[in-house]
Amino acid sequence: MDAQKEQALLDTLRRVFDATIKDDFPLETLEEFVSEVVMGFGSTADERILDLAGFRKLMEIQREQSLGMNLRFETKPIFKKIFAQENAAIFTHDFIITLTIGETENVLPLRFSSVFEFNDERWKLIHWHGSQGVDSEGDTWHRNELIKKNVALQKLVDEKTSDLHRKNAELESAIQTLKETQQQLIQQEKLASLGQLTAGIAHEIKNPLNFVNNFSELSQDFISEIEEELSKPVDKLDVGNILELLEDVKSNLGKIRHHGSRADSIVKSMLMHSRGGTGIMEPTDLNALIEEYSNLAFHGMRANKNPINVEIKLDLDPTIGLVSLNSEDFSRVILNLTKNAFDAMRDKISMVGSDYKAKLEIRTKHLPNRVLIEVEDNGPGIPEEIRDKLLLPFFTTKKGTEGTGLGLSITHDIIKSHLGTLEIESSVGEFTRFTLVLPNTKT
Amino acid sequence: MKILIVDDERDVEDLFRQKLRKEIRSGVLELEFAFSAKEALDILDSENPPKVVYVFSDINMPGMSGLEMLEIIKSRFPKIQVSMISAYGDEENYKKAMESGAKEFYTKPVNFENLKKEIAEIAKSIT
Repeated sequence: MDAQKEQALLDTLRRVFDATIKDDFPLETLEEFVSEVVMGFGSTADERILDLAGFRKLMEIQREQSLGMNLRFETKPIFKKIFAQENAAIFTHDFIITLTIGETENVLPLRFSSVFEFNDERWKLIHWHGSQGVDSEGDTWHRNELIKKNVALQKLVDEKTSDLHRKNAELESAIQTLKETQQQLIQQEKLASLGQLTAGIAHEIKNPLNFVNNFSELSQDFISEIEEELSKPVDKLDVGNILELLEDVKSNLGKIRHHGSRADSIVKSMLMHSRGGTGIMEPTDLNALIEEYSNLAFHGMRANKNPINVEIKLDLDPTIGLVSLNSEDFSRVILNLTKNAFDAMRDKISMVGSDYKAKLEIRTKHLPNRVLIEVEDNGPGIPEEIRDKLLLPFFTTKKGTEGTGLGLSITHDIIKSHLGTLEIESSVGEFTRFTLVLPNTKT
Repeated sequence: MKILIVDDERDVEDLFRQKLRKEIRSGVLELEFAFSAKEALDILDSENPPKVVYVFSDINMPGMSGLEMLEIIKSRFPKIQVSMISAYGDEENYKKAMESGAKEFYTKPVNFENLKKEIAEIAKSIT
């Protein structure tokens, strides 16, 4: 083919590329290098061209869609064939378009095949095919391409999976830390409640110790008196007095023993309280536990700052019998509920003055297979809007560092661990009642 | 001379009887005991006029507190002397007791020497 004809062919090819990409290409000149009966296929449904008008339409659509984008392209010839009579030519090119949208560059690698026909001294495009190129030479079914894609996908999946594993491990360690912190907080809350108890316990120990001291001192005095009496001449002996004194000494020794063991059992329950270990469920005299711990809480409150006068009314049903309880945990429930009641009633005293008579009532009642415990105060009551928040950990209405917000939350957990329920009823300005129901199968 | 001791601890009775044994034996003192404020008021109400001249009462008791009882005694029987005992020497209770007309305010453990002196003074004042 002579050089001029070949140059014409290459120019025509060039114009086809330009028409496709350049938005200032004069589309009215299409007919000069595109055949009336041009036919071609792109990779989307609207890129199915059956004549020149269709080709022009496609160019217009492309131009419309490329608004706001900056397009650049380069071509690499892959295949070229000119037929014997030099009237037809086939090209295949890599047609690599770079689209710039804003600051982002996207590369669109196309494979473009075109067929040109020489007619009336002009080369014209008569057939084309364009599609996304794949690296699949000699691989009709794109097997290698698919394998490559699969490998890439697998790699992505592996990356995401290891990412997930790592995040999972992080979460697990975070949960572990949270659990440890929670345990520490619970332990702190236990110690704090022990702290509040200390004064009550001190009082409860001091009381029996006062009796121990007084009765032993009296006994010493009486022994001396007996000795004095015995030093008298036999006919002056007041045997009646001696016997009376001996009777008192004997009775006093019994009382010393009684009050000694009373102090001992208080120390034991204090140790039980501070151990923070796990108690066991065993048949427990619930009424006695309530008496003991409401009393400790009362004396603890009395001996701490801002003591208040409270009438405590216990209405304990003796028919409840022994209730299966973890007494170490459950004593905490009684302590917490009574302490909350004292705090609430103290607030009411400072609000309404001393005409208000603070009163705490604790009731037990036997129900079929269950036992009911009610702790009711005539304090300020709990507003409706915070009632359902009361059991949440860290929720507190107490100022500053006075409350950890864990007391009721721990109380609720303990009741749940006894398979029991806790309900709160209240009327603002009148009362608050905590109602506990525990399973109780009498044996 | 009759005195009434009010405390919810039962052993207080034996303690007072023994501590004041000589006074009781010699007939100077007669002791009466009540284990709640209500019981104490019932005892005072049962005699007209009450023979009791001196009441010695705990403050912290179940039911009516010693302070409430103090006010009632002072309004019904202004001549009866009342002293209070508390396990805690807290300011608030002290003030309240004194305002309500208490004679003395004791903190536990009771100092019996002081108590005996006071009883002797009261005995002197009524004879």
